[in-house]
Amino acid sequence: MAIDSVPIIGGGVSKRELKIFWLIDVSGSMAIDGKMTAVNRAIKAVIPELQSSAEDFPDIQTYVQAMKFGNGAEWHNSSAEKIESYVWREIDAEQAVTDMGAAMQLLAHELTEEKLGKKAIPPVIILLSDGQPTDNYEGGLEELLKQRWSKKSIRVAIAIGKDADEEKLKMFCSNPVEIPPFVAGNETQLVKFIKWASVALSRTASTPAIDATGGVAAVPTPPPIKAEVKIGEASDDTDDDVW
Amino acid sequence: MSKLKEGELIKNGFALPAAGGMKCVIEEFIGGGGQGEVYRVKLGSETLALKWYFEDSQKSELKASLKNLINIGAPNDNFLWPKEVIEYEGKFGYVMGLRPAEYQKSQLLVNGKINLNFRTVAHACLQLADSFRLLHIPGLAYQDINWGNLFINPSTGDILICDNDNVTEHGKNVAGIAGTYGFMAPEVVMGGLPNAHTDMFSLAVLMFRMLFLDHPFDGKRWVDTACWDQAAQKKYYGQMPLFIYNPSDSSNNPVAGEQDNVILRWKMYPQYIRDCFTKVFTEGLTDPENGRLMEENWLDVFRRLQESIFPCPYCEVPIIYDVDKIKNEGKISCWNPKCQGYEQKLPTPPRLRIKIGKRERIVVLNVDTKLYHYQLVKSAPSLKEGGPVVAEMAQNPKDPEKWGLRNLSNNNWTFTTNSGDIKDVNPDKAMPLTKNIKEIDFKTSATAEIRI
Repeated sequence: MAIDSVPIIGGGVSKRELKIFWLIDVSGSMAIDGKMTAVNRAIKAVIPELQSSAEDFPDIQTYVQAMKFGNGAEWHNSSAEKIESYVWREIDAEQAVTDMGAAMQLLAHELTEEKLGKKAIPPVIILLSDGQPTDNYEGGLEELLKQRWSKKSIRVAIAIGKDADEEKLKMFCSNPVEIPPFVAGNETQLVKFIKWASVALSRTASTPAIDATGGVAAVPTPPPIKAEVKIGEASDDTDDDVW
Repeated sequence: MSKLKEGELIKNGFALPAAGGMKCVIEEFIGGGGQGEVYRVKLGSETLALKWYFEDSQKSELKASLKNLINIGAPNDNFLWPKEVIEYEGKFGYVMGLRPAEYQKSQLLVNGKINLNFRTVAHACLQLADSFRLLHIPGLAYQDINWGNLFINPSTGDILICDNDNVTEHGKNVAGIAGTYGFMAPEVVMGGLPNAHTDMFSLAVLMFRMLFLDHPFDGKRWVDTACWDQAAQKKYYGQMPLFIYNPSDSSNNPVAGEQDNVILRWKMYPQYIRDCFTKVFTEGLTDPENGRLMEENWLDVFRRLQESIFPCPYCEVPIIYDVDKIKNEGKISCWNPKCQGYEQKLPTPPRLRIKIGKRERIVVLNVDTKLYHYQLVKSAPSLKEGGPVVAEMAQNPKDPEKWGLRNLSNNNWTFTTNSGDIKDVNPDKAMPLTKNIKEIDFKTSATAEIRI
C-alpha cells in the first residue's frame, strides 16, 4: 500500500457555527441610481472572499442568510446556508415601503438560543438601508435586543446615500460609538463597506483581535471613508458612479 | 479592471523606484490584510512580493523597524523576511520573497485538506523550533505566532513563516499588536505585552495543534460554552486556562465525539512528547521564564521523534518506535485500520543504541537512515550545526541482502566484535550491522551498540 492512500487518522474537527445575516432594504427607492445593482454586485463579490477567509478558521463553519424588507420582511434564503456552496440569487427592488421594524422582529426569531445552538460564536448582522423606517422600528428593535444572543452579536449598518436615517441606524449598531453607520456615497464605497463588514467582522467574531494596550479591540479598524488615492493612476477617477 | 478591485492601492504595471536605480514593477494584486495590500512585483530579474501599507500604518517607527530587521537579516530561509523598504511620495512598503505554491495554509491540516505524517510533522516542528530559536538569539520577538502566519509544504514538512514586519526587539512593540486569541500566552490575553517568552507559549500551542489537530485548552469547557465569544475566550485562555490533559484536574478533558483528534493522537505520541506539552500548559501558564520549553528542548524532542520512526513492514505508514509503549502494551502495532498489521504485533525494527557519556539515544535503522553530526556529539543545538551527514546505510555489494553502515565522517571508526577483535572503518568504508558486533566507536565521544 502506498503512503498516500493512508487514511487520515482522526476525524474532522468539531466546529462552531458563525452566522452572517444581511438585512437588505428592497423599498422602491433602492431601484434608483443602481443602488440595488450595487448591493447585488457587492454581495456576489464578497462570497469568494468569505469562502477563502473561512479556510483560515477550520474550527468554524460559516453560514450566510439574507433577508429582504420592504412591505414587511421575509427571508431571501429560507435557512442559513453554508458559505462553501452558497450562490447569490439576485434581489430586486420592489414597489415597497421600508418596514425595518418587521425586519428586526423576523431576525429576533433567529437569535434565540434554540436557533443558534449550543456551539456558536457571535453572529454578524449587517443592515443595509437607503431610507426612513415606515413601521414600528423601535418596537421591532426592542424585541430583537431582548434576545440573549443579540447582546453578543456584532451589528453594523450601512446607509446607502444621504436619505437614510443615520440616527435610526445607529440604534441598531452594537458599537455605535466606534462603528457608527457607514454612509456609502457611491458604488465603490458600498462594495468596500459590505466587504469589510462581512469579511473583517466575521474574522473578528472567529478570533477576536487584541491590541497592544491590553484592551480588547472589539472590532478591527473600519476602512477609511475617503477612498485611498491610487498610485500610478489619476485620482479623479471618473469610474465612480455618484448617486 | 473591474470596479470591484477598488481596494488596490497601486496600479498594475506601475514602477516604483528601488535602491540602486532599480525599478520595482507591480505585476499583480495578491491580497489585502489588516495593515495593507500585497502585490507580486518584479525587482530587477527577481519576482518578489511587495507589501504596501494603508495610510493608518504609514508610521515612521514601523519604517525604522523594518530597516532594522533588514539590517539584522533573516534568521534563516524559512522566513519571508523583509528585503528592502520601497518608498514613494512619502509612503512606504517593503519587498520580501514570494511564497511558492506548494506551501499551503497550515490551518488546512485541521480539516484534513492537507496531511502530515509523523515524519513530516516532526520535520515541520523541528524547522519551527530552529527558526524561532534563531529569531530569538539576537533579541527579537515575533509577537504573533499563530497558524495564519505559517505555511507548510505537506509533502516534505518544510515551512515558511510570513508576516515578519511585526517582529521587534524583545520588550518593544512597534506595530501595536498583541497576538491572536487561541495562541496568545495567558498574560498577553490579560493585557501584558508580547515578548520572546510569550512567543514560546504560542509556539507550543501551534505545535500542539499541528500534532494533535485540536486545541490544548478547548476541552469540556469549550463544549459546555454555547457562545464562544471574546468574554469566553478571555476567561478560558487568560483568566483561568486549564490544559485538557492537566494531570491533577480532569474537569476540562477532551470530550468524545467533539475532540476526537486529540483523544486518538494523544495516545499515539510517546510519553516524552506528552510530558513536554503538559509542562508548558501547566507550569508554563504562570512561569513564563522557566515553565516554557526552550527551542533547544523542542529540537531534542522532535529529533528524538524523527530517530524513532520506521515504516510499517506491511503498509509503509510511519510508525513510532516507543520503548514506553512496548513496556506498557507489550508490542508495537500499526495504526492504519486498512493494514494487515493493524493492532498486531510488528517485528521490532533494528536500531542503534548510541551512548554519549551518560546520555543515550535510540536510532531506528531503516534503509534510508542517515546519521547526522548532532547524533554523535554532546551538544549541537542548531539544525545547521547538527546537519552534516556522518553515516548512511549501505548494502554489501556481494550480498545486497546484507546491510551495513558507511562512514561518511572524517574519523576512523573502529568496532569491536563479540570475540574481542577490533577492526577499523576508515572514511567512505562501510561496516556490517550484525549481532556479532559488540560496540562501534565513532571517535567523537559516542559509541553504539546494535540492536537487532
